[in-house]
Amino acid sequence: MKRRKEAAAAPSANEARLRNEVERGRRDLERLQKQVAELEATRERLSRLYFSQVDDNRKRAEKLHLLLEVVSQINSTRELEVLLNHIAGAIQKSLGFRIVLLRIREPGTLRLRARAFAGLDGAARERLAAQEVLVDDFLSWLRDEFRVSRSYFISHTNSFSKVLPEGYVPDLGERADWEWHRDDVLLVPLFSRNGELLGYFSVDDPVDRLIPSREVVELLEIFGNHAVVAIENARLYADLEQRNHQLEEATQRMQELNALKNNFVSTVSHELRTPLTAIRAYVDALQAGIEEVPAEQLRRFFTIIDEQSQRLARLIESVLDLSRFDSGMVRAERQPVDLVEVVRETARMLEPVAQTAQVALKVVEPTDDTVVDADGDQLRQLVLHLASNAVKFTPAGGEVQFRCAAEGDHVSLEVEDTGIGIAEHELERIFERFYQVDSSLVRRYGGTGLGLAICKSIVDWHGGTIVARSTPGQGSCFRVALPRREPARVLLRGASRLGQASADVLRMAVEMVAEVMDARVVSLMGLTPQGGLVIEAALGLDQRLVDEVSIGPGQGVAGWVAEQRRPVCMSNPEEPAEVAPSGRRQYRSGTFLSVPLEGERGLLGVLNVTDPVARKEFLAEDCHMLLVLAARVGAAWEQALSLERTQAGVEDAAETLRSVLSHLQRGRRTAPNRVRLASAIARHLGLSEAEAGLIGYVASVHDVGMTAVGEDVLSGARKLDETKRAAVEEHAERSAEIMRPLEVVGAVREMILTHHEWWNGSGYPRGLRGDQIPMGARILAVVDAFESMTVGRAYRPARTGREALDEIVSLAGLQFDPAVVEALVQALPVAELDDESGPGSVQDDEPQTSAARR
Amino acid sequence: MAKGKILVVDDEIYIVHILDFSLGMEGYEVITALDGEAALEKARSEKPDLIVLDIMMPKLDGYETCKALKAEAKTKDIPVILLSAKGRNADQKLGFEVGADDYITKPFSPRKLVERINAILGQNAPHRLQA
Repeated sequence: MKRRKEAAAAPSANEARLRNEVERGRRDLERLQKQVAELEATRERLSRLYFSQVDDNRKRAEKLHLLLEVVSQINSTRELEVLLNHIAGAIQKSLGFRIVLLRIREPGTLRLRARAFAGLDGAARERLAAQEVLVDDFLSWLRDEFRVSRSYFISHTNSFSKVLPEGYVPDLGERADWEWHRDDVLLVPLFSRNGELLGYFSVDDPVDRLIPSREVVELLEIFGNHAVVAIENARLYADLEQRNHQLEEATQRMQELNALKNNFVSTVSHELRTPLTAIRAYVDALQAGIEEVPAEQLRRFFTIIDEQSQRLARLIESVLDLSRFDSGMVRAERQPVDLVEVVRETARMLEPVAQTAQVALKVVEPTDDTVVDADGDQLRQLVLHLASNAVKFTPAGGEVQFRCAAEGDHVSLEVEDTGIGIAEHELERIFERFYQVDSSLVRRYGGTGLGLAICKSIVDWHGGTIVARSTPGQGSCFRVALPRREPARVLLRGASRLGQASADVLRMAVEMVAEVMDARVVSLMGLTPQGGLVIEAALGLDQRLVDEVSIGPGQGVAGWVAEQRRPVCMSNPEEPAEVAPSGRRQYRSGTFLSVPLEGERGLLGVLNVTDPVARKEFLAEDCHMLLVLAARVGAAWEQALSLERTQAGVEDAAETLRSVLSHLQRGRRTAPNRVRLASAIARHLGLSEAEAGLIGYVASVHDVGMTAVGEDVLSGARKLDETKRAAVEEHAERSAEIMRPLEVVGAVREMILTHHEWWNGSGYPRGLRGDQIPMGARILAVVDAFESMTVGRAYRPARTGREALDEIVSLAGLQFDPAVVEALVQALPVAELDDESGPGSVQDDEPQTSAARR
Repeated sequence: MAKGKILVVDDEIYIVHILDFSLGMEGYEVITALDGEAALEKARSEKPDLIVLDIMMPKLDGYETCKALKAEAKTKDIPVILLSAKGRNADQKLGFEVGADDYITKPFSPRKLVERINAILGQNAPHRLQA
C-alpha cells in the first residue's frame, strides 16, 4: 500500500512533464484564442471605422457642395443683410439647427447687433434686434473651459449660463440631461484675419436633439469663415460706395462753386465795363470835336473821366482783394492791435468828408481792453469801409457812432448811423458780392458793390462774425466781433505718415485733452522707429515747431517719460520763456505735465500738456486725470491703427474670394462635364460611390488656383514662355492654398496638390511617381488633360475628343496611370469622340446620383 | 426845330449825360429815364421817335422794358436800340427776339450810336453838314 500510495502520490517524472506540457499548451491556446478574439475585435472596429469614415466623407462632400452654393451667392448679393440671412439659412438647412442667429458689430462701435436670423418669427426677431450685446461682454463669455475647436459651448449645467442675457429661449419641451437643453448655448465667434471681433453666431434647437459633436462645430466654423469674408467684403464695398458718394458730393460742390465763379466773373466783367463805358464815351465825345465843347462842359467831362478811372481802379483792387481771400493767398499776420485806436484813426481821416456831408462822427470811449490779435492793415480797411459806408448813407445832420467793447474772449465794434437804413429782407444779402440794395443809390455814392463782401472776408479770415441790423428810415448798425486770440487749431506734423483714422483720432484727442485739462498747449508725440519722439499732433504750437521737434531716445523730459513709462509734473513758473532757434517764442515749460501714452501692445508715445489757462500750477489730481485721458487716447489710437491694418487685410481677403468666385463662375459651364467624367472613371476603376463622389467634387473645384495665375497668362499669349509656365505650374499649390478654408477632408487637399504629378515621376510640385500619387489625383490628371485639350486654351487650339484621347493614350505610363487611361477609354462614348463640342455627354452609369449631388 | 426826340434810358447817370450831350450836339431833343418803369411812362407820355435802352437796370430790365414797349399799341412802332455790356451772341439774339431794332455793345462810341440813330430815322446826313 505504501508503494501504491507512493506511486499515487508521486507520479512518474514523465507523467508530470507531460501534464505540465499539456497545461502549458492549454494556457498557450487560451492566450492565442484571446489574441485572435482581440484581433477579430480590432479588425471589426477598424472596418467599422473605415466604413463610417467613408460615409462621413460622402456627407461632408455633400455639405461642401452646399457651402459652395453659399459662397457663390457672395458675388451676386451685395447686400450684407441678405447674404448673412442666406448663410443663416444654409446653416439651418445643412447642419440641422432650427434656430440660427447672427450678431454683427456695428462699424465703429462696440455693439453687436442681431442682423440675420433663421427659424425665428417676426416678434422674436424684433426683440433680438432691440437687444444689443457689448463686445467686451461677449469676449468675457469666451472662457477656455467652454472652448470646443474655435467655438464655445456653455452648458445649461454650468452656472455661467445663467449670467448670459436671456436672448431667445425656444420651447423644447422635456429633455433628458444628455440632450440639448433650452439653456444650452453654442457661440461661434467671427474674428477677422487680424483678430478683430466682427460678430458671432449662435445656434439652437438641433434637429437631432443632440449636443453638437466637434465635427459639427468645425462645420459651423467653416460657415463662420464665409460670414467673415462676406462681412469684410461688404464693408469694403460699403466703404467704396461711401467714397464714391463723397466724390459725387465733392463734384457737385465743385460744380456749384464753378457756377458761382462764372456768375461772379460775368458780374465782374459787367461792373468793369460800366466805368469803362463812361470813360470811352466821354473820350469819344471829346474826340468828335473838343473845340465845340463849352469850357464848362469840358471841365466836367475831365472830372467824370477821372472819377470813372478811379472807380475802375478801386473795382480792380477790390476784385483782387477778394480773389486773394478766395485762394487763401491773403498776406496777413496777426499782431496785437488796439481796435479803438484804429477806430480813432479812421474817424480822424474821415472827419473832412463827414464835415462836408454834415454828419457827426462820435467815438464812444471803451471801458474795456480792446486789444486784439489781428492784421493791422486789414483791420483798418474793415473799419474804414464800414465808417465811410455809414457816412455815405447818412443824410446831413445825422450821426455815426463807433462803440468798441470786450465780451468774453471777443472784441467787438459797432458802427451805427442815422441813415436811410436797409430793408429787413435785404439784410441777409448785403454781404454778397455785387448785391446792390439799390444800385442807383450805391452808384450815386460811388460804391463798388464789393465793399461789404470784402469786409466779410476780412472778418472770416480772423475767425470772427459780422452782422447788420437796421430800421429803414432810422438807420443801420453793423456789428463786428473778433476773437481776441487766434482760435487754436490742432496741427499735424507735415511729414507724418499717419493714416486717416489715426490722424482723426489724434486731432480729436489733442482737442479733448486741451479742453479737459484747460491747457493752452498740448502736444502728442509718437515713437519713431529709432525709439525717439516726434510731435504727431499739437495745439498751441506753430507748424514749424511741430514739424521740427525731434527728440532722441531718452532725451529731455519727454524722452525720460517714454523710457521710464512714468509721468512727470514740473512746476517752475519763475523760469523765463525759452527762445527757440527760429527766433519764435517757444512754449513756456514753466508748468509742464508729461505722461506716457500706452496701448495694449506697448508704448505709443508721450502726451504733454503745458500752460494751463488759469496760469496755476498743475496738481497731482491733474496728473492723475491726464493719465486717465492718456489711457483712453492710447486705446483709441491703437484701435485706429488696427482699423488701418484691417483695411489692408480685408483687401487681400476680398481679392482671394474674388478669384475663387470668378473661377467658379467661369467653370460653371464645364464643371458638370468634368464631374461626370471623373466620377465615371472612378466607377470604372471600381472605386466606391463615396470615393467617386468626392473625386467628382474635387474635379469641380480643384483648378481654382488657375484663376490666380492671371488672365493674361490664360488668354493673352499664344505660347507659354518659361515664366508663364512656372506661373501655371505654381497653380496646383495655389489651388490647395485657396481652398484651405473650405477643406474638411485631408484627402481633398492631397488630391489637389498632386494632380499635376506624372506617373513616371517627372511631374510637379513634388515629383511623386506611380502609386505614390493618390488615385484621385491620377484621375484628375486625366480628366484635366482631356478637358483642356478639347476645350482649348488661348495658347493651344481645341482638339476633337478622338485626338485628345489618342494623345492621352500615348502618354499612358509616362504622364498618366495606364489603368486610369484605360478607364477613360471605357467611360467615353465612342460615337461622340469626333464631335467638336468636346466631352459634352459622358457615358455615366448612374446619372441620377450625379444630378442629385449637384 | 429838332431832328427828332430821343429817349435815353440808363441807370448809369454818366452815360445818360454823355448821350444827352452827344445827341444834343447832333440836333436831337433828348429826354431821359434812369430805370425801365420810368422809361415806359416817358415813352407813353412823350412819344419819342427812338429809344436807346440799357439792358442791365434795376426794377425792370431792358429786355422786359422792350417787350412791354412792343406789346403796347401806343409805343410798338418806336424803334429801340438796346445798349448793353452783355456782348454775347445769345444776349443779342434775345434782344432781337424781344423786338429791338438794333443792338450796341458797351463800351460804345457815341459817334457810332449817332450814326445808327441817323440811319434808323432816315437822316443819312448829319445835321451839321446839312446846315
